Amino acid sequence: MKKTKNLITSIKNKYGMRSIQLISSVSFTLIAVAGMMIMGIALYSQFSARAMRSAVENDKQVIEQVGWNLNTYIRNMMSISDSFYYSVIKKTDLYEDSIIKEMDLLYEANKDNLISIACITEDGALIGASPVAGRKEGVDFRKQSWFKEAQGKIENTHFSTPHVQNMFENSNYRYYWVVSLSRSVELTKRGNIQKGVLLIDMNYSAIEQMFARVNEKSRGYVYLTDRNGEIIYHPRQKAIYAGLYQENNRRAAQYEDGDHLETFAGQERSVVVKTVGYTGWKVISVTPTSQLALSMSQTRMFTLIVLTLMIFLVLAGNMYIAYAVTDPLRRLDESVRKLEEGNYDEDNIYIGGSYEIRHLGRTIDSMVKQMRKLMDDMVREQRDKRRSELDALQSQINPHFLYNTLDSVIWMVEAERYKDAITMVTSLATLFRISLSKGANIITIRDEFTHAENYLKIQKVRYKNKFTSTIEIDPAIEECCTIKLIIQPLLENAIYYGTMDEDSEITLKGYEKDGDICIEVTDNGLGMTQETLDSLLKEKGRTRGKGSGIGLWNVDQRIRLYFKGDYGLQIESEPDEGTTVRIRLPKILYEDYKKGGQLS
Amino acid sequence: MKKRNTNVLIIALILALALILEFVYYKYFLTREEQIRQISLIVYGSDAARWENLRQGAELAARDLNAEVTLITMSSESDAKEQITLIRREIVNGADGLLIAACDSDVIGSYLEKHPIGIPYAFVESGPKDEKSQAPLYAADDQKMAEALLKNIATNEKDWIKAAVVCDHTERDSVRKRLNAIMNSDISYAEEVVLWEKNEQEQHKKAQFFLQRKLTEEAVDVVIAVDNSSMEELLDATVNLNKDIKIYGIADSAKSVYYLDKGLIKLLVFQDEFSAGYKAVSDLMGKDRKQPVSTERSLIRYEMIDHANMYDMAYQKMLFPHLR
Repeated sequence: MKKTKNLITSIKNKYGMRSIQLISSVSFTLIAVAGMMIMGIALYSQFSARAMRSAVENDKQVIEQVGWNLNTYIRNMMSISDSFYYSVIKKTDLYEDSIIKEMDLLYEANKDNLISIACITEDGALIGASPVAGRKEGVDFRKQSWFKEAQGKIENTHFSTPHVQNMFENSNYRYYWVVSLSRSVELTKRGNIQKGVLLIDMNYSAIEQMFARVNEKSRGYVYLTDRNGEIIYHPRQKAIYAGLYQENNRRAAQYEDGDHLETFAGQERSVVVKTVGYTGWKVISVTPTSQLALSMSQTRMFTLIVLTLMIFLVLAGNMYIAYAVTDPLRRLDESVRKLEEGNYDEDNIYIGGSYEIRHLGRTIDSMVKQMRKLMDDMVREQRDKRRSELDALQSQINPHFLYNTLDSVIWMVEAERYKDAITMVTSLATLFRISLSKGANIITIRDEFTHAENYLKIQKVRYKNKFTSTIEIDPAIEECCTIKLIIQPLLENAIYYGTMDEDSEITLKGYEKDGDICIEVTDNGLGMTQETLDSLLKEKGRTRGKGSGIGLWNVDQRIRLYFKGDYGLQIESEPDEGTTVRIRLPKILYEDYKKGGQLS
Repeated sequence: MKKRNTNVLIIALILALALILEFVYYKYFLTREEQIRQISLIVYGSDAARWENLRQGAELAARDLNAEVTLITMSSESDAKEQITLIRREIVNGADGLLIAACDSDVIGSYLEKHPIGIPYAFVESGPKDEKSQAPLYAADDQKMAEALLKNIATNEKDWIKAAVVCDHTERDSVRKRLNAIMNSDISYAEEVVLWEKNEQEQHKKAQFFLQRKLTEEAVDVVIAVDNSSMEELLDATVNLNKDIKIYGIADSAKSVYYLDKGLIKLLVFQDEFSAGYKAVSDLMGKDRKQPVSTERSLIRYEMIDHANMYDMAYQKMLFPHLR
């Protein structure tokens, strides 16, 4: 049981590993073949049962016909006997008249079926016979069985089994096989009634021919017995007498009329029995069932041929259909495999086959395209991030800024402004410390403001206090996160473009608004036109260089890369009025970020 | 992919092969009309009726084996050359088997021994001289038949009678064996036994006249004929001769039976030629035709009948061949 279960599981597993084309074609073929087999077997069983039944019915019809023919023949013989007895013998006084003439007439009228007619007294004396023939010497009619039977059953007509007639002399060494119809008659002689026997010898060959004709056409054979089973006719009669063939005649004679199944001499046979009216003779039809089966073998083989042909066609058809249905799937599968291998080329996904498969292909293709776009976006984002970080890094070590700052320090030292020089160097040191921030990109807003303050200090010295600056920060946001060095580029722009005269003022503000953090750098410089303003934060057409606004764009991109959503820069400017650049950041506590929190 | 295609190709080939085999089987084995085989039954003598029992037996067996039997008689009683010609003619005509009642055991036996005919054959009633012949002989035991006949004569007749034995057709082995059995028997059935045999000068004489002369010249009580030919010749010689003789013999021809019925013949021993024909054809054309036939199988029964019992049902069925 367990082994069988394992075997089934193993087959199922192996089967499951096969391609959908093989599975579908084999499955459909097996189901179709099984269906055809079941149908074929059912139809064949039904057909063979009907054929068997039909054969038995046919046998019944045959023996009905034979029985009817035989009955007619016997009734004819009996009517000959009756008419001769009642019309001739009963009306004739044998002392005065002879019955020979009537006997001859009767014989001539029926000589095809008769061998002879004879009338014998109870003493065995021959009153008359037709055709006229000499009585055999030494033959005593009274000892013959037909005579004894007639005497024994006075009221009845007696039919003998076939025998060789042993009454009259025959020329040319001829002997006749006859069936004797004998009856007891009353003979009148001088008015006295005397018993006698009327004998009509029926030509046995008439019966023989009747059956021989039937047996020529029959699958089996038909034979005739008397009521005791004594064979009257059998196609192998002499072989039976010679012991070369056996027949179940005694038993079959006991069967009721109808069809029976018997086994005789190791052979199963279908036997149909019909009793012939008055005589009680039995017409028996025997058909070996093997003979019936033999005739079915042609049908069986024909069915097998048709079945094989159908299997052949079904297999071919299934394979073609399975191919037609599954080939698009296979090709789609190959496309997906290539995708798995990392091949994201355009038009790589197969779209074909039936509607469902085409739809699936299109869906996968669409997904791939989306995925490809996402990946491109991601790659671009990463690239931009890296570039902006590089730009930020570059901002940290701007050599001009460093050179100018150091030049200012030298100038201060030469002018013996040591205190200012110390402040300058200290600011520069703090600036660099925050710029480095141990490599971190995210720092606190307090540090970023400190960095901006130091930067302004340095630039004030460099620009000889051409501008004033104000720094305002809401203490509530000091410990929140920001990307480092995002204020410095804004201050740098404000200094470059917003400090044209002595009244120039730069304001740096940090505050919370609507849950976000805002950092504003405002100057009262030249301001910008709307057109310049619109192009400032657009990457397209932007080239790197002083005054190109690359610093602003860079800051905006960095904020957008780190903090998704609506965060970034906002610029408000009016020509001759000044400019306000506003950084908008999400409010995230630096402590939370350090604990592993996300920025977006 | 390649493996799958190979599997499909193999399945297709197997199915195609099965289809072809089934079709061939259906066309050439199931629906083919089986050719009817021809069996030639070549007998001696010109009287076909004499072989009726044998023919009927052969035909009945042939019918079961999808074969047909053709009875071929000769133009004379015994002509070995003619019988050889008939054998050759039947082979040329496409006979599938031969049953031969040899008219001359020495010549026919020797001819068949020296000239293999390529088709199965068997002997009935009269076989070859050589008992080692490969072909079986379907016949009763000649010696036992002869002895049974003698015992009956001894029983029915007085012991002082003179008996004559017709010695003719000794070219047939069956006759020779019966005569030998009679002449060499220890059974005391007659005081004197004479052999009626033509001498060299009488060879051309008709047997009927030879026997009539013998019957006239020599007073005998019993005449014995050991085969159908001799019996019929003896009957022809006796019928119109007013001689009170008793005839015994081994025969079953219609004429012999008729004269048994008439009382001229006292007793007949006859063999069941129906069975001989039936068994010979069954063995010749049956499934086991290549197996050697046992003596038990080829040995046919014989019966004895006289005027009193010839109409017994058992004998009627054997003697009167009209019943098929």
